[in-house]
Amino acid sequence: MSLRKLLTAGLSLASFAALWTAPALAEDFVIGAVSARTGFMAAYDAPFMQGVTMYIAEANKKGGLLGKYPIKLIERDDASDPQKAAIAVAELLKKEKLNAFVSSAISPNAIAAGNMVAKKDLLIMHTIASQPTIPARAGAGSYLVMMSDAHMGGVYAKFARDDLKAKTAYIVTSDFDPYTEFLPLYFKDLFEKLGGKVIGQSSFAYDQQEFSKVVADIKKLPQEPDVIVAMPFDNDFPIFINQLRAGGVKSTYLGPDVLDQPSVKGLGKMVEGLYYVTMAAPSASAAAGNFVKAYEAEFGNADAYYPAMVGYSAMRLLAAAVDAAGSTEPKAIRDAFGQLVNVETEIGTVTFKGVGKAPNLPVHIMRIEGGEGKYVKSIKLDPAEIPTAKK
Amino acid sequence: MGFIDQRSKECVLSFGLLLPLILVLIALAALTDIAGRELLLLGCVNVIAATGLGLFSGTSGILSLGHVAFFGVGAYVASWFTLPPGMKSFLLADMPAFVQEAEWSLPAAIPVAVLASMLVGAVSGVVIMRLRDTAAVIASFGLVVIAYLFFIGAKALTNGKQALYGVPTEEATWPVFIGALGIALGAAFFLKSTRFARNLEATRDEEQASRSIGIEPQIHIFLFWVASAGIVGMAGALFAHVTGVISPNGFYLEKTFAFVVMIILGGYRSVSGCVIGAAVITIAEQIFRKVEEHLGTFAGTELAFGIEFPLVFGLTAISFSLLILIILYLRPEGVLGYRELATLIGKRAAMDTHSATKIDRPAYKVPADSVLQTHALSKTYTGLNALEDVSLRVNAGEIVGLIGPNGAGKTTFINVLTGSLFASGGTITLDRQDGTAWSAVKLAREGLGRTFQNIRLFASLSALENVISAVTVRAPGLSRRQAEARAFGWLGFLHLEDKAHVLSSNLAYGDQRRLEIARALALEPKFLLLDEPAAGMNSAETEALKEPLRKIVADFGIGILLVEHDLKMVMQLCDRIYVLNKGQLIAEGLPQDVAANAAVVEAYVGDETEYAHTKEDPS
Repeated sequence: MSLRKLLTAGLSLASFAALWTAPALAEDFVIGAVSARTGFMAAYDAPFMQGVTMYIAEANKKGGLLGKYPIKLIERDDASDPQKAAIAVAELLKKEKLNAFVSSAISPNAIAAGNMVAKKDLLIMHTIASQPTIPARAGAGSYLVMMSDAHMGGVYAKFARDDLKAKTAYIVTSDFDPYTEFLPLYFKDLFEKLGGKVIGQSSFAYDQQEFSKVVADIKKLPQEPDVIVAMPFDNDFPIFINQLRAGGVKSTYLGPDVLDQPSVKGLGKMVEGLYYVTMAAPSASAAAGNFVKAYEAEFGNADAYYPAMVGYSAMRLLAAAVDAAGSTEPKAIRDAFGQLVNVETEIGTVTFKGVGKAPNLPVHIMRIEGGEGKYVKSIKLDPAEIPTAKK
Repeated sequence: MGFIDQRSKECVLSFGLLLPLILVLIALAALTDIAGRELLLLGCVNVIAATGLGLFSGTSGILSLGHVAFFGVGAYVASWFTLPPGMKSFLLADMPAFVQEAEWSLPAAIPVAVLASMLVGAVSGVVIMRLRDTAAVIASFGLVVIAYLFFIGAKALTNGKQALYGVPTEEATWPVFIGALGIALGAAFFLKSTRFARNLEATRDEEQASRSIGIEPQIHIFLFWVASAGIVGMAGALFAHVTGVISPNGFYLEKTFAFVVMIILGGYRSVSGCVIGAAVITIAEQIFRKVEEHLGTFAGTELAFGIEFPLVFGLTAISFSLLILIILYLRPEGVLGYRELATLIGKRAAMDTHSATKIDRPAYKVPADSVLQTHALSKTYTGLNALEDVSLRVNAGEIVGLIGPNGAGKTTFINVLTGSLFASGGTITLDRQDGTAWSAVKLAREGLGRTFQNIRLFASLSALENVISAVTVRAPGLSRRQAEARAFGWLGFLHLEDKAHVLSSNLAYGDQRRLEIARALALEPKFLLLDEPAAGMNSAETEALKEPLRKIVADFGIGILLVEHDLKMVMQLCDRIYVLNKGQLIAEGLPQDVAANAAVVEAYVGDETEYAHTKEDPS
């Protein structure tokens, strides 16, 4: 019975493994992380975690947090699957004594993890999640650590009005994801408050790969809109911009924040002059530029520095909260996190106090010129200008 | 258990072994801390899903890729009722008020989820039941794709890609899960013990033969499709309450693959195999995951010469796929193959019900005035008259021969007569009823039994079960025990009672021929069409066949239409003979008259001599 042998071998290997797993030492600062190391979200979650490990290595050389608590990271792969994520989070919480938590950016994963983590009073950060409703649904410990969709929409509105002097806008939405659905609406909120006018709206389905109807709707307008705001994912984006430009629509395009990918820059003339927002602009500050160099040296993966920089900065925020709390006690850290003011990080100066659980921070506007993303400017909204979270 | 038959005993015993086995496995895993509670609950869900899927795929022989759709329906529908109203107010804001306000327990929501899955099963089943083989597999896969797109698109019901979360995981308790496991296994083995399962297995093995004993395949496929949908839907309902999150991605390709792997690995032809497969997969995946996590703790440590141990993710998926390849290489039929657990542990004979069974000697009489008749029967293919004006009559109580050289149209005549082909012209009359347009199933039920030129037995069923399948069509009102007793009677009539529990595919050739006759007789037909019953038999076997054929006519008054190549046998057995050549009847009459007919000698005997010559001369 080869099957029996196989099972016996497997079982003994597993028990061996169980015996061997080194428990975290009492004086360690333990971060549990369940994120996508495989599957579609791995492209963002994995570099975020690389940023986290870079920070940990540096901090541990100096003795760890508060100079005496070495950071230990326990990671699990959720394979981009909400169900696998829920199981892994439950297991990690049961087995390990944790001080803080990191979940994937996928919102069901993030919310499920947040609700479980809340029972242990832990702080939880959701890699590059940007949906501003996540913290309200994911429980007391949940914080976004980068710009929210509301910030992005608001910054685009301000930029369009103040810098591009746009009077009219056209928005394109898709309800398959909060990002594609609401970001243009956040834009609309502030754009109209600032005196602009949204003159039309179309919608599309995920992976639609055909946008002639949207283009026709825009062409039908008595005058071309000054700006178009649409956030298709990278599967739909090239076809969208291609059909838009082929249809002769020349409006300025304000696009999704994933446009700094080589595949997009490779689209050539079609994407020339296009705007996108990012958290990670190497030319925005010396700290950002230095991080990108260090990241490239460490991982050799120049294209993924954006999530990595957010991960690295998130660790700075965590460290600042631990410093402020003066302890590694989870609830104290969690409370201190929400009170952070003007923490200097690679993504900019971050404030939580007074703005809820999505931080206020500068958003960098980029423009594609000659196939490269060129830094244009950074805009930090006044707290009163941040559009209210939807749904 | 004197009231149940062999099949039921196997099912009861398999159930009795399997349920405790799974419970022991769960308990062991819990004690050794190999898996956390959630994973054990998920393992339980896998076993239930595999039970449902295996019930359909194993019994029908159609490997369904579509059951993930029912899994999803069960998960969503149960969650509608268990999600806290506070969550539903923004996740499912467009739901009607009674759903919005519902805050049921999981056991209360499960029946609704099961019903919903069965409803979807009934709608899709109408399509599936008409399809076979690859077409059915592809169609079932289509169901997954449709369901996936529906789960994404029907935002009001599912919240689309943004998922439903906050499904109360505290509802996932062991009593509920073990109860559900018991119900699922119980329901599957109960269905497996019925004549409906036997009929579907018969169809799976030989559809044409099953029709020839009056089994309607479609209704059986439908029944098992819907029932299995309910079981898999229940698994889905439980699943939602383990993870607390459900999204369309969870009910798509990955899950489809996981389910298929489970049942193929275990052996999808048996419920036990599917259950074992689910258990093996769950345990193996868990072990690989532990190893991966353990190796992860060494990441970054130096091995030697400055080489660092890398952080590896995805090892689980790779090892898992390797395991599947290894097991299937060693056991292509899956771990259990076709067998239920009970038959592995005790030999069939050990559970033999024979000695305790009162053999029910067959006793029925065909009315003496029964007639099977064709009038001017024709079959035309473009430009070719395969059959032209064939009028033939078989009376109850006589043996009529139909002979003719190769290509004479005998096979076409049989296919038209038995409902496999429609006639282009002419009529078929069975006992004064017009049966020209009857299906094979209707003809069988109205009293026309048949055997096949190339034997078509239900290969994975025992000799006894082959016969019971026909008994239960003729007399559905019999108890399981009575049906079995009558089948023993028919086996006895053809001297096969000692081989009752042998798989029909393992019988000797002559025994297979006789078993086919026994099966046809069990339908208690008025007329019996024997398609070259002596083909491939040696002279002793042919001789031995004559006695039961004469006895069939004498005892039951059946009329036999014997289509045969063996002229000697036809001459000795038949009361009258028809001769077919080039689609037309060229002679009919008493054996001695036909033998003396010049046209017959020219058309048939000449051909036969040539045939005999080539056969005897190996050079």
